[in-house]
Amino acid sequence: MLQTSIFFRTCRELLPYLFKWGVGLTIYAFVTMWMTPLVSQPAVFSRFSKIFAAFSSIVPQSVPSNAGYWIIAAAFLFILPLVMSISLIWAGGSLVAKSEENGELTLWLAQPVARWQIILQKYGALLTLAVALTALVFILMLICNWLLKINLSPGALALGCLSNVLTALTNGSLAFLLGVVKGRTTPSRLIGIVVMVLMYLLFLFPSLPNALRLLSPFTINASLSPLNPHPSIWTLPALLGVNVLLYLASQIGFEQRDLNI
Amino acid sequence: MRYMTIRMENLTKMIGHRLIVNNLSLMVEPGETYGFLGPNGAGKTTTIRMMLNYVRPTSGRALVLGLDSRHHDYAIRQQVGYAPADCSLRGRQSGAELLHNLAKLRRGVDWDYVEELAAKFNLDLTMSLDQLNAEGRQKLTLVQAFMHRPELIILDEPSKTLGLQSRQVLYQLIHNARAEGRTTFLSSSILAEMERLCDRVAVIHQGNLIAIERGVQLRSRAMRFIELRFATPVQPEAFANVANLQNLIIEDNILRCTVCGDPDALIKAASQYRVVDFVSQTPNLEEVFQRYYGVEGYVAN
Repeated sequence: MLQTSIFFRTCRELLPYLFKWGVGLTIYAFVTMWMTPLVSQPAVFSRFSKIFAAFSSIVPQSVPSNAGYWIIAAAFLFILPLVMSISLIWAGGSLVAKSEENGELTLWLAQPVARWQIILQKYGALLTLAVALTALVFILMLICNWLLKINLSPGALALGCLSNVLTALTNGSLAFLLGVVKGRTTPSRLIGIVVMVLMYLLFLFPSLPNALRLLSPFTINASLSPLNPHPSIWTLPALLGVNVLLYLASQIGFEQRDLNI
Repeated sequence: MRYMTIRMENLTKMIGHRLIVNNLSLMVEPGETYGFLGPNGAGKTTTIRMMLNYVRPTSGRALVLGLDSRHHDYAIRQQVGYAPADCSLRGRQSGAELLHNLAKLRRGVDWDYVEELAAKFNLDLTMSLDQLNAEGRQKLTLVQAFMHRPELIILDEPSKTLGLQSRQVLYQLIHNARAEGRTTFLSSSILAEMERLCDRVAVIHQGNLIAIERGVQLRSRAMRFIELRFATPVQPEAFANVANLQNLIIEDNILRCTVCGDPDALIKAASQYRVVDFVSQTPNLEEVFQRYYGVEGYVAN
């Protein structure tokens, strides 16, 4: 029978994360809205032409036609997946490892609870955090969209948000796996961040072979930009599949591990 | 095969090339208080963790309550209470919160009994884990081990950080469990504790089982360093024929010796003088191991 107390307890622990990152994302959204009219002035807009050219070379299918479009696209392609990735790596790397470090895991495993249930509930809490952050980002983007009169459809924004969260979750799941296997918070977070930076660099360099760039979840995410008129839906199952694999690896890794030697 | 509460069959654990537990076989009878004695690093904790499937054996198996620890750990943990050694509990949650969460994983326990246990240990459940000292944290792990009145209680170095009063409470709980027919598996490096509490004691050193002793045997062989100070100088002849004495040194009014087993004869011989001070020290475990089991370089089996 499934136990839920670890899930709810972990969700409670994650509330401060949600609050901090939520506040950060809200500030970012309002700064974006404040910047847009400034960047929209023709004199300023023309100064960004080089950045727009670089932007178009990284994501060829998205051609920003004005400052509002550019800012929204930049958010979905460059900023939000990065910020959300960092937040989920921070949380994911600590979920199991911190319980092990503070001795709680030893006592949980002294009770009748299976190892797979602990991982399921911990990962469930990570998913809940990801969903909550996505919901917040979606609402903020809807507000931006409406205030800046960009007129993107809510469906396109939702798809962008979903792609963003799956990208971030890929990084978070990797940190989660490391935390489960290593049982240490700091190395799991650090390795997670290093891998994320490498993946981000793969995405940022269009000169690299496409097959290599596609290894990066950030590149896959780019094909689902709300400004892309022809988003490739296959990317969602691809990102989802990577997350499922990382979750299964966490289950197997935890099942096989010797604890607290 | 006769039912045993714990049955270890050739249990072995290697980490890399290091042998932590070597071919350990032992049996614990139902209702027994069984000691697991060994110095730090002997392999006691690893053995216990193998019994509860925290750690997987390299070879051999452990049957706990008749169930294989590798495949039925869930069912085993339903009937077992386990207090780990050196559980470095940290966090902002209170002791009560932690115990409530653990109780939920057991689908509820008698909370009145939990409070009774906490009161016996003089443990303030409202304090956060960060505020508790090592003794407080150890008390908390003991409360969670006893809170569901388990069939088998496994205690790993339970009294290492406990004060004198809390040790007495723990000993009483172990006595009560025994009176109720429940089994206790007690790991410790404190010989006196084993002598006092256990029906049988398995002695382990460097991962090897070197002896299984009855509690009575341990008590009869208990070794103490004794120093007596007398009001006046004493004659060596008065103590020359006292039984169980070794390494007897008499300097004026001070007597130093080692007593093996019952100190009754020494006390009777000393009673003819006025004793102004009496110091008794139990030897450390390594000394006992060297003396009784000759363990340096010893490999069982």
